[in-house]
Amino acid sequence: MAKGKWGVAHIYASLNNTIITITDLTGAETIARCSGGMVVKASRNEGSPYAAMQLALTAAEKAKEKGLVGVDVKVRAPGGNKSRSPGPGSQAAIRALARAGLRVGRIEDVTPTPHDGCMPKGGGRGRRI
Amino acid sequence: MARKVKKTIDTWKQKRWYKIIAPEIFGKTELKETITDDPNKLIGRKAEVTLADLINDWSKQNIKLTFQIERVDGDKAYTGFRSHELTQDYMRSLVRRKMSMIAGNFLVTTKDGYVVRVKPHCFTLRRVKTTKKEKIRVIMEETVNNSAKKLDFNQFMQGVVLGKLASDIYKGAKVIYPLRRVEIGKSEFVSYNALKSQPESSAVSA
Repeated sequence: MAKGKWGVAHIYASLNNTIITITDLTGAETIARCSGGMVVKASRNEGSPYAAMQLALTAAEKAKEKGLVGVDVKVRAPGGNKSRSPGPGSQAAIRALARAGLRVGRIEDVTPTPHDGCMPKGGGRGRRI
Repeated sequence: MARKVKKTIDTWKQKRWYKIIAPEIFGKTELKETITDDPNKLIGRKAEVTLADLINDWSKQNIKLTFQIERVDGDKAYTGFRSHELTQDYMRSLVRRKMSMIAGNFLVTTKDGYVVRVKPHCFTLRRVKTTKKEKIRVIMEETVNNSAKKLDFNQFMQGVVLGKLASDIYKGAKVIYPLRRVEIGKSEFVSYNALKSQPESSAVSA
């Protein structure tokens, strides 16, 4: 096992936003946190890869200040009855974490999947524009 | 306008790092650290690690183990085994077209009174009719029950995590239909019923 203190980077990447929370191994203590709205001005840019890069860099800086050496990554899409594939920010965020000098260990997809749950919104005939 | 100056306390500086120690089944190896200001807050936290980290075997990366902190001593947090699970992506890579997955969900009691839920999965070579599926499921249940009866909790969990139980099921079930793979998808510790102290537990509830 690599030496030094390791954390877990929870990345929530939806179509409209990316949120990163770096915690300790148990997930009970937050070490650093950043989201799309903290780095860009227009709300339509919150989910963009550029915003993801910036927010991952800021979160990584905070985490390094507090003594983390590396992180395991847990990527998540909205899941449930919504989109199962992570948004555009997830790739950029992971790359930015590595570029910022944090070591990236395991990358895992932890999107919540229903074992058949609720009906998705939009009515019986789908969304009509 | 004199405002009250709030003293901002740097909570981060009050916190200390604690090492998480794996349960005895996995040789009490030191895992990664967790942090807190009050050691009492540690108890009950769950840590998730891969088997690869524990036994330094890179082929075991798709098995996740969950430990729960039970007791803190100095800067060490001792844990107990809670559950084990295969990663989502590995489980999905096993499922393919034109074949069947036979899943089971069994509640068994080990020799020393630990109740464990075990969920084995069999993957066949071709698509299987329901009658054969049912037969395979019966064999799965028998194998799991038999090994639980014979072994105590630690031995049983080791068999589950390291693949001994899966290979036992494979040997039994391949007579009915050729199997591609058998995995224990998930197992969880449910409760502890000490065999002799049953009147004691009823007294607590009453």
